[in-house]
Amino acid sequence: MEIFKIRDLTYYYPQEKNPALKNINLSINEGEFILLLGNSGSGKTTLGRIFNKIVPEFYGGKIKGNIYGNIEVGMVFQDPERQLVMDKVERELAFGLENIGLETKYMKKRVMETLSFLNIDDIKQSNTYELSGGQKQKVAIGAMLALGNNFLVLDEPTSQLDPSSSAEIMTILKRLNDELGYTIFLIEQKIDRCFHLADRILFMENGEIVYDGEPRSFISWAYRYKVNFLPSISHFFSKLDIKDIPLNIKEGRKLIKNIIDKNQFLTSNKKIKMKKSKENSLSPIIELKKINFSYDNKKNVLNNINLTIYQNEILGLMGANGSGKTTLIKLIAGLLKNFRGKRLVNGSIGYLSQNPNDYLFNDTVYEELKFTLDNKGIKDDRIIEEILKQLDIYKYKNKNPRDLSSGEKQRVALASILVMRPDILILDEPTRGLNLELIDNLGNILLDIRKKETTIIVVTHDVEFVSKFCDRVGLIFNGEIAQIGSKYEVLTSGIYYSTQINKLFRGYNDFVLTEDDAINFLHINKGVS
Amino acid sequence: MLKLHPATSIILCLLLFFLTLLYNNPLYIISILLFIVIGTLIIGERSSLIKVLKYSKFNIIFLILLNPLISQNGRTIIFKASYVPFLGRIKITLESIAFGLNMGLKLTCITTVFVFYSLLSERDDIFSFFAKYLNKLTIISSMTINIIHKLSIDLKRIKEVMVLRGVNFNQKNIFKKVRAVYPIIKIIFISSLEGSLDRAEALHSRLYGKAKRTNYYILRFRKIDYMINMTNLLLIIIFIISFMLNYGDYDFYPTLRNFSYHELIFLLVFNFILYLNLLFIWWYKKWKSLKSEI
Repeated sequence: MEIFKIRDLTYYYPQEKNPALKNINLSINEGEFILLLGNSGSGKTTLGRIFNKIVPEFYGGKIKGNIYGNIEVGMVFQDPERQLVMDKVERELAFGLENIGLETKYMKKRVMETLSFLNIDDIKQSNTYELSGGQKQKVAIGAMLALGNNFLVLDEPTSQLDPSSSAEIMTILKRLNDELGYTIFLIEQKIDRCFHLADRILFMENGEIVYDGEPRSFISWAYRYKVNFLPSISHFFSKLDIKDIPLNIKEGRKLIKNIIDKNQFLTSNKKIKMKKSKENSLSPIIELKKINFSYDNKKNVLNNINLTIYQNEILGLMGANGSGKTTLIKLIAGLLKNFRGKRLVNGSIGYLSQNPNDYLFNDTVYEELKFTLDNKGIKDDRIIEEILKQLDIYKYKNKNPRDLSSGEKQRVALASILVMRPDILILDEPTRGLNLELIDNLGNILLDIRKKETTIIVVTHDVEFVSKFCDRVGLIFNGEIAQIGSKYEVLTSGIYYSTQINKLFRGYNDFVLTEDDAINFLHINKGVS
Repeated sequence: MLKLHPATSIILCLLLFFLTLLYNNPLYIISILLFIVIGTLIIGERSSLIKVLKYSKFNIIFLILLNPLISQNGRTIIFKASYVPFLGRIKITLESIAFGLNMGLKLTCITTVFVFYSLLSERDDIFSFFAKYLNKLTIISSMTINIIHKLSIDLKRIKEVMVLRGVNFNQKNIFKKVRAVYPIIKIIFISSLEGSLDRAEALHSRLYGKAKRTNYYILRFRKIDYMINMTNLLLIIIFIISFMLNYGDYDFYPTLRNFSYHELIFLLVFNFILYLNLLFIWWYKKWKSLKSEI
């Protein structure tokens, strides 16, 4: 049954010349799980805002075309912080119900049912601001469920969550869709987690829907038009020229088994071209010994950390939300003082925090970089042009950095650090909110920077990024380093903290980590069927 | 944290606020301050109290030092100088120091009363209470509180970023110091605008203001609310009487005067009624019976 219909919709934000949405024609049927993909700035969020009328009721602007459908739509935003209003979880779930004037006896029932469905009864009296990122996002979803909205629009709900919390959120969405028949409209960049859940894929480009169809046909469409929006599993199989391309690990493993059986491949755990750890040949640039740290003398955030980081390596730091990763890099950067233990750093540090907006206040990109040089007393400003060209933002030299897209803003913030030519570059969650293409661009930039004798530390939740671009990985849980070693050692022995490709080949060869490893493995075994 | 009806906590704290402003007698001011301190300790929020008092002591010292330099009134001279650079001829009197101390205590009362207020009722209850009657005002205050809370977090984060970009915040030259702080102010200003828009969008999407609101917990007056409001009423009466009899007032100049017998008796009555509230709060924490409705 059709619940929403959009015809010839064009929308302009106030004072904008270019439309954010162009000629949108879309029908939504009850119980569909729709995944909306597209580059940053393609109009995904604006389209999401159309359903609950935030656009144009809240934002204003010009709108043309027709929207049919009168059901209430719940919206869950990217940042859980911005959508929570009340202090207590129970009150947060009831907030929307209070707003629509529901009687108290019905309210109680709805809140209790929601708490039970999401399995969060235990935190109903907790303060919302003390919850973990995953819990906050669950509460935000719960607030919409309690309202009785059975059409949910979710705008990148897992972008700030660690892999296990993200998996939990996706399971909830799947349950809502399967068990309760909810219509789900999901906007996501991390495709691996949700592609196989969707019944239908929409792809947007410059405010227009350029693809609307089934996930399987999207794979061939995306491959044909070189659109870098495929889940790792599908992307890998599409390279092998296989007709029925799998969407998830379950399907993929069946296919791999067939290939291996047919070709009588060896399924030993022989390490394939495993890069040896260079620890012995490199000299340390950062050494932390028995580091303990706590904010306000309360519970230790870092516990007995021993860590050596070597010159010219790219180290990835991963772990759950709140495990102490950001605290650790702040301590390395010299921002935290009252710690116990030894900290030795042999070089200058550049630090890129999670939010590039924290760096941008000058009128032009050029001035933004000049600001850092002036502060550091560096007179030679030829480096500005060099860095702008290296990061491919030279064309924006005279533009206001706040007017750029999120990926471009991030590159400007990075450039404002790189002009100092730091020996050590620290990046906190640099892939947040970026699509696959931008993530690959960023990774290649980091590899380029590394060539200039820079040591790089990256804090991230993105396993695929780490597997492609890092040399070593450290896993941090509860303020302790649980494991550190080469990416092959760490990422091939985890449950959540491993790549999709590794999960695909596990049991056939546990040391396959990336697409290249996988192709290599299949070729070593006499070609692909 | 207590769970008083928001109206009760607002009335009590407004009363304490205005009594502090209108009374000038140091004995009354000390009584009010002690009441707030003991009340906060009974509720079990020692750490919040210490935090406020830590900053208040600097205010008191500052006012004790500043007032004698500005006010040349008073007869009990402690120090006299015919010429001090920038200040000229100064005379420091015991009365002006006492006046400064009294003002410092008043200021401490006012800051601690806000802390006390935040401990008497749950924030969610206060939000619901106001949202029922003052829809738009509540949305504005919610956004403001959110911005203030966010500002302190943003400030710390942006400062860290700027330190690593080479900005020196420890400049001695005032102009250089202002120049160093300028980027932070600019970024915070832009982020605050974006933040408040986010908050408003979240409230809009949660259908705030769409219909007449109901309450998840029906806010009802309980025994404790009736008892505290009864003492609030008595305090208002006492205040009016003391104002008429001029008991709450005190002249620091030209010399400090002794307190009269009647004044002290009246203070005892005032304190007896005011401190009854502490007894109620203590009972409320100990016994369930006060948490029930009548």
